[in-house]
Amino acid sequence: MISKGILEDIFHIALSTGADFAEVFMEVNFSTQITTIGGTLEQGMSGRDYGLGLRLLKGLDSVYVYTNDLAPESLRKAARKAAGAMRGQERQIILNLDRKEVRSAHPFCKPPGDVDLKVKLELAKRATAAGRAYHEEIGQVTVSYLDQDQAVTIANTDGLFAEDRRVRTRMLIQAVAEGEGTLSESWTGPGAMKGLEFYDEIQVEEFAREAARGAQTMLHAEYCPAGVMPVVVDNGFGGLMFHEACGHSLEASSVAKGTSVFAGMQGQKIASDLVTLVDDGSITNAWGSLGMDDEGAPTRKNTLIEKGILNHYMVDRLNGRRMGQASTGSARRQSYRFAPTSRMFNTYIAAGSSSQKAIIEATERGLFASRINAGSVNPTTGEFNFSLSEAWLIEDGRITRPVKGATLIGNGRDILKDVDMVGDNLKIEEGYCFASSGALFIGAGQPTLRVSSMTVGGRSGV
Amino acid sequence: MKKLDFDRLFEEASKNGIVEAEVCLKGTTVTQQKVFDGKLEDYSYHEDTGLSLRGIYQGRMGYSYTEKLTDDAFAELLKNLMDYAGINTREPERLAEPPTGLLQQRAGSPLEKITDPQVREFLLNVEKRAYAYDSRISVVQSLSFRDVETSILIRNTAGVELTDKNRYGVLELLVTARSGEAVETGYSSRKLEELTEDAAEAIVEEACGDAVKLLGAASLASCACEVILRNNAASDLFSQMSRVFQADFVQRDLSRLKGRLGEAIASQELSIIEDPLHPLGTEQRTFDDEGTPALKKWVLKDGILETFLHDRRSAEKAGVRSTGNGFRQSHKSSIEIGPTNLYIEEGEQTLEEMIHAIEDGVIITEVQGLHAGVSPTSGDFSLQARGFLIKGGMISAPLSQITVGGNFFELLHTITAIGSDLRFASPGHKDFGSPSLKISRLTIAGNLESN
Repeated sequence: MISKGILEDIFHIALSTGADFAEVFMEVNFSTQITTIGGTLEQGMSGRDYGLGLRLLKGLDSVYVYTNDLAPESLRKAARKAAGAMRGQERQIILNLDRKEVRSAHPFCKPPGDVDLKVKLELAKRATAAGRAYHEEIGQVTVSYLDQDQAVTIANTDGLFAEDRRVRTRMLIQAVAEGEGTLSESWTGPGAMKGLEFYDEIQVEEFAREAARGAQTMLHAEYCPAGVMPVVVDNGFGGLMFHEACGHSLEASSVAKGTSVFAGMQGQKIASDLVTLVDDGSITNAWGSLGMDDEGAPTRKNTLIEKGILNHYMVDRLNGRRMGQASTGSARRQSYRFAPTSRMFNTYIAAGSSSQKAIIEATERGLFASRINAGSVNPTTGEFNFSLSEAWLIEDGRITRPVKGATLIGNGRDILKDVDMVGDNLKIEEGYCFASSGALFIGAGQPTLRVSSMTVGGRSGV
Repeated sequence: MKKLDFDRLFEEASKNGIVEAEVCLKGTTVTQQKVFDGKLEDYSYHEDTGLSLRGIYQGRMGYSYTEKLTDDAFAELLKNLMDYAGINTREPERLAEPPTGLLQQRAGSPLEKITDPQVREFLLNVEKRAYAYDSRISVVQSLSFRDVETSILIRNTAGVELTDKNRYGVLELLVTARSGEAVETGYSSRKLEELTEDAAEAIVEEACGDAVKLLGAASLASCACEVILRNNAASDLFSQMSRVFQADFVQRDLSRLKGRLGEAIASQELSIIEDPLHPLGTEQRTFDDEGTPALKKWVLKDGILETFLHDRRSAEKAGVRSTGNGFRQSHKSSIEIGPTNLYIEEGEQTLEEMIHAIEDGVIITEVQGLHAGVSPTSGDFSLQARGFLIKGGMISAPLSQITVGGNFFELLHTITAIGSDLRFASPGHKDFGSPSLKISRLTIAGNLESN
């Protein structure tokens, strides 16, 4: 995609004013995103993303410049602009970019560009029909179909010259139920780091019916009682709770400056013995995986918390310098428009030994969080919140009535210690994470587990 | 902006059977500087252009985009457009027409005269002020200024050529305060066009003031009470709900305001205005992406719902005129309805006066997790929040680990006072301006047992 000669030129200019490291991230991406409402194409388009980001480091200082004008003279101009922001002596290096590595690790059969747009529309129509047919109270079904074929080249002044081709697709199916003068909604979002063969392996109808079931269930729910209670979070995307509550505070981007609630606690016990938290960017064909991270390091499995002990942070190159730690292959960015930083890939709580049934039966009164909607955290204080798109009351060890409008809030430090039962049914599901280096594809997962006490924000019972 | 040969693109389009075509070129130039620990820590710069194309092929509208702005990208751009038209069953909308009447004129931005080193000096000064504010300010975590210049060019085969540009600066500050075991953060951001001492002082006062005053915050027992949403918190809540005023959501049965035009949907204190050239808003547009002149309008006047926001398509469907709200969110989006600067008209009370009038209540100074905690469809919200108790007309104990919950559509009727402190809280994002609001009753959930 980019010649060795141009790279050498860029690096030469980049290091002319004192930078000790320079890195190029080039991206050519073919992407389709279409949205249907009620099975009719509403918006979207296909197109090409194209650009190059250049990062310079000097100690802990950084400069980032990007452009989508990739003519050689424009790239040299961008390099001069970046170098102009550094102050210092030219650094001489011997560059060896002779060996280009291909680090794509996730096989695919049907790249998105080879599949007719009509086929993609048909998938959305199938999901819509199945969602609508679920129940007469299902009104609008909205489907967003997305695919990408992102070819990335990363080169740096340490001699790295590597490529990764990232093919992925996902459908976001949102169902709205109407009745009793109100509306409720729920969604499912199956996706994978695969081509369109993914849809031969799953039944989109099942995911549509699940979204419809959630929306229809919640239409008739009462408001959730507010208060403090045990919360059983079901397996799958419920893992987003730990992504938010703990994951972000274990990213070097918040640890490096000492501002994270978990800074300086490596080797210490921060969670219940039952908690092993893993971030793995190398799971084959998983939605949140990459062949190499966005600094070119191979992705890998990082055990962040092992049986309650803080084992390792997620570290990128720049924050690693501040912390005196090596990269853990955890650098990510949405596109060439963002400088990379430490972020999560597929994050999950490892399986324990209790059955889902046993966990519910052991809970006299509490909340069963069956589907998590979304959440966020303040990594400094550890305070997190997330909303539930489907929740039920647990009464006398049994799941009884659905409740709506529930929010869970708490502190990452406490929740890790308060996990008192972990199930045997680990499942990882697909979602997005929004932070400083853009919107990223992530997996979040866990087995069914129980937190002994959490604050539930609701509307009734006060 | 780049010089692309659009005449050639239109010629190629015509050869392929695309009978009408329109390009929309969006450019952004951003310079951002961040300081940390007394020096410039991060500098970033980019010039970025994206091209959207739409055109009518076999009677249907097709769309495509590219960031590869060279003539050799044309073939793929046209193919993607034709593929899309091939599956599009909607009636094609019309391309931009020459705007009727004169577009408003604007002066250049004072930012044009400010240099990178001046910005750096200003940021270092803000950092010093932040540390000097209180000995408990332990880290100025993040302090940045970004200078953003956006431009748009619309050109089509009907001979329309429209250009507009806008420039603004955004200052952001995030600090940590510590005292013993207690840790709190404070955040503030604002739009700036000049680097003044007043601006530095205001942002330090808000971010550091919040962080320090919140130290030692605790939860409370769940209750329902009178609540003030400080301007930034009210702005955040309304920004998440703004789509209920959009005609596209109304027409898709996704807004509970459907069929309520002309009715009182809110307390008569409340008026909501959309102003594409409001000086406090980051959007500054003289026409929308369909060429409709952008004008100031009342969405809600004295509690009565006056209009929804329309683009041409929704307007045609509703039998009204476009309100000039057809925008592409980026070069990768087709035209959708979006607000420019939506805001709640100011009232007369200062925040202090509003607090003084409350015997027992809560002021919310920050809400979190907006994308998670607000359902625009039902209007139900339950948001993690921080703030203070109000006792006898005075600010008292700091609060954290609470949620504020209610229903947006009910809240509209229970606004009992509106402040004189209009504020756009998230400049550069989908923003909604609000003064502080007093609400007669909201649920505050906390984790303490009630007595």
